[in-house]
Amino acid sequence: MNDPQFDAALDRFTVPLPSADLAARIIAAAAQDRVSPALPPASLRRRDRRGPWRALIGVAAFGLMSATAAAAGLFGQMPIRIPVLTALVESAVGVPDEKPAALRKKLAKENAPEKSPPPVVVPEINVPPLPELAASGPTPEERRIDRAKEVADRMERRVLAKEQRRAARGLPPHTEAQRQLIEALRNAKSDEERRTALRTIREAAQARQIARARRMGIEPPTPRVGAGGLTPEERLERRRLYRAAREKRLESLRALKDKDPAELRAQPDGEIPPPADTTGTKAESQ
Amino acid sequence: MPAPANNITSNGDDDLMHNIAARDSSAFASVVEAQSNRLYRIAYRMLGDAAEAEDVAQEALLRLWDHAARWRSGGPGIGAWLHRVSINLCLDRLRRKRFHSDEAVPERTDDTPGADEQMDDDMMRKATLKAIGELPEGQRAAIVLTYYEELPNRDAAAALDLNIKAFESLLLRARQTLRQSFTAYGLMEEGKSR
Repeated sequence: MNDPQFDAALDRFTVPLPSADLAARIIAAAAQDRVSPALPPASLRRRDRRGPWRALIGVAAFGLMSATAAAAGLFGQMPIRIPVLTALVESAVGVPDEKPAALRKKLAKENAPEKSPPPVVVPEINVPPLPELAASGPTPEERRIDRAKEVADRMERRVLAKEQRRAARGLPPHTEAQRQLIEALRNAKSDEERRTALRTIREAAQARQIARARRMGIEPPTPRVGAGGLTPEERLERRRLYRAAREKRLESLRALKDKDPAELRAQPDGEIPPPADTTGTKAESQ
Repeated sequence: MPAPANNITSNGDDDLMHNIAARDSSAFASVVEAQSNRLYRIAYRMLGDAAEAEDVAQEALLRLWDHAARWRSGGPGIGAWLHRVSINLCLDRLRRKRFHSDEAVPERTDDTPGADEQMDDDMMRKATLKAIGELPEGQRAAIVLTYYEELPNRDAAAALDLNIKAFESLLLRARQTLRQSFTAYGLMEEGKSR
């Protein structure tokens, strides 16, 4: 520090004198408050005469608690039976006289008769459908009944509208034929009857459309075409052919099943007739 | 400028501490006589309060008395140990003050007899105290130990638990800050400050 101004400025920080008795106070404090008393010799240390009794009582209490816990099974399934305490606890608590697991296994092995082969468990193949799954949706027949009901309701609404329009003009109803069709559909008891009633309704509607077109002098509408570009009649015919072909194919398979496999293997290739192609489309594509 | 008061050698320190550990009051009294004023000065310049400085000096020496049994020979000596303890006690008190109140370090009072008669000197002294009081605690300790107590940098660094390079950097920053403050308070001329 060679800067005189800097040193002079620092030197102005004078320190007042401490108390005259500072050193004496420190020495006195060390002598009075902080002197650790010398430890007395070990032989003169006061002995606690209650100590051994406390230790004895503690050991006895711990032993009783441990034995009781073991007898009550708190330590798990250990094969330990304490002669007096276990019986006392079981009589008081009502613990059943169960043999330990290891002992049970050993006794079971000793008392078991000769080993017999385990029974063959045949797995159940045909598992019946679960009841909740079976009841979870309408059956196809129920769906067809609902569909027929919807058609009948819709027709009735149209018939009612028509009757109201005619009544407003002071004309008689003129819907007797349509009501008969609705009744026939509602009274159908089987799928066949419902199908027939629907077909009749459809044909009647087409006839009405053709008659109306003739009255008005316009081109009659073409019959309704469904999926695949087929008329309903064509579709029915196609379905009939398909079912017949399938039946024929199943018949041929049943016939093969009855034959001897060795005989079948002896036949040259190509003798087994292929399944009949009923639609014709497959044969054309090949 | 106070003269260095630590005339206890390291070998002598070990003997003294052996006697203090055996609860020899005369040995402890010799250490108190040798060290109490220095510890008081350090604490006063750190804290700016005479009563607190005496408390710090007493506490440091009593800790030596209490921990004498754990003294390890071959260490830096009683003086260095006491410097370190007293600096730590001062830093603790400063941090506690700063935590409990955001007031500045209290204005230092001068109990020197005849101080009232020297108004100019008194004002300049107060400016010096203010400049040192505004230093960060570590920088203040570095100035106190090296300038006022004339400890070697190595011993001062040990008292602050720093390596020598860190201590020198701290001391340099402290002097720079202090110069700026002295210049600002008119204790130094601006052009002559280095």
